[in-house]
Amino acid sequence: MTRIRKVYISLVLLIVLITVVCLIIINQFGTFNFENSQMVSKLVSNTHAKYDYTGQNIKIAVIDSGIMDTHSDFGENIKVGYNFILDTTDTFDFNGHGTHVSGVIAAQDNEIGIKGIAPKAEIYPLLVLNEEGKGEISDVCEAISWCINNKIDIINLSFSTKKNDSNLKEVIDKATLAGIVVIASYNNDVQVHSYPAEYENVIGVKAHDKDLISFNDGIVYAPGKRVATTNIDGSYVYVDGNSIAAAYVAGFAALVKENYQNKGGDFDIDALYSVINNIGN
Amino acid sequence: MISLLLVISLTIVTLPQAVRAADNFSDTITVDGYVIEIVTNDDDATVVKTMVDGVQYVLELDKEEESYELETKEYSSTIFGIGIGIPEIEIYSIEVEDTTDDCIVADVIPETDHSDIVHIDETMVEAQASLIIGTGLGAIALALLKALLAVAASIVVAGVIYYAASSVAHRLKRDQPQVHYYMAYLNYGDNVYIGPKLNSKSAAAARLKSGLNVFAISSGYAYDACKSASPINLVSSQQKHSGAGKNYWHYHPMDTIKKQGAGHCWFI
Repeated sequence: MTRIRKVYISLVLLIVLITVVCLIIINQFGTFNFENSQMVSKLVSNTHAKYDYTGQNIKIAVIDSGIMDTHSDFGENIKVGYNFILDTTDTFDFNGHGTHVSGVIAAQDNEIGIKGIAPKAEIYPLLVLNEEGKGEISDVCEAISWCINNKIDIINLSFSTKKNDSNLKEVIDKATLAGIVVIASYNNDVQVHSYPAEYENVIGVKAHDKDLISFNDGIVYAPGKRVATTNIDGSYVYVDGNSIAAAYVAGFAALVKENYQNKGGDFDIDALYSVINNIGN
Repeated sequence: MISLLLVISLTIVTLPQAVRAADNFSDTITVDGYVIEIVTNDDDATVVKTMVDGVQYVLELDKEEESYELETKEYSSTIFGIGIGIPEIEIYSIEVEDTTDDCIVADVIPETDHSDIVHIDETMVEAQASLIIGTGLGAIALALLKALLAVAASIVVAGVIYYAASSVAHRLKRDQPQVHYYMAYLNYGDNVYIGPKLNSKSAAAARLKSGLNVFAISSGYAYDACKSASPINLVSSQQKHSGAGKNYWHYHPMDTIKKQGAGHCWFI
């Protein structure tokens, strides 16, 4: 009887030991180690290493689902934006998409988590997408007008609609005339129209799984597969899609604009295309 | 084991024909990731269906009533895509507001609980995160609607159903010779669609005056309506545009400065 009890206790102890070891292993490998993550490697190889800019003093409007601005990877670079659904300045993100996009663009270089493409760029969260990630074109138009009035440099539109809307086109034309570079993602469904990405004066972006930005047949391609970014629960998450690729290009555009500003050159959509073409070559 | 197989076999044999139709080699199309079967497409109705996670979705367009009805049948289990047992049935009416510009706007309204309406609006902008095939009622209803509209060669403008002229124009005169005019719509600038009948020449002229389009069953009727619509009783020359979907002869009413009005009056 005593022998059976000893065996039983040994077995229990062994199971507890195995469980503890498993938990330690899961904890170790389950935690994101972003210093070695795919995203950081992309940053180094594709942008920072070549340009050594941070997006300082560049204003980027992220017209999206808002932002979780209390995330430890965001700081003073997140400015007061506007909620065009509720008409308030409360832009808390109930969907997560805006926080993902903003992290790719401008998560801070603070030794925590990830580092965005342009970590010192000023982010203006303009909320037009609801908790389901959908929004009205009229709210998008108002948000773009807000960008014109507030002298925004770059607009990121990580969304798409099948509707070719004349009001949307008109306000984007005005933004372009005001010197704003507008970047938009194509629809993830390749079989449908994608507006505003298809408009001539918008940089339309699709995701690819390569570690570079390239330009082909009127479309800009950027990393958009398994990209690490900020999440609305304060953690990090890997995301995919054309949304993320557009954010990547928006951040990159901030670096190029900063470069042009420092050199006294005029930055516009053609300048950005030129730089992207050079990268591709 | 043998008795279990016998029970299953008997259950399959006694299932309604519509459920077993999946076994037939009928036409299917894939929309938004769903494989959709075309059950019926004739002058009276167009019916499409799909099976998702053990639930069969059947969408019917009643062309006489101009109404859409979605029926869902949830089976406790399926074998080879065939529902087994007594299903739970839900009925929904679908109010389609608009499908122009390739964007569907519609409400899926449960028969039992009108407070639980699913709104579909493809004109909205949508975040382009990872491509996920929707599994909710709205996503499935949308896929079925897309399939049904394509199969029936139809569009909906402000709640009114129009059919592609290429599929219905040839039988207008044969089926209802007493009707001379129909509402018409030019979608995306390349396809003529024919809608409900217009009761009189004056109704057709009123529509042309406001820049909208009309389809007539002969050149004579088309000319008359355009003449009535013109404040100076002048009609443009007979003309047609290039492009397969709008390749119909038509007239325009002329305005006071002898310029062509926007409204077309096509004819066969």
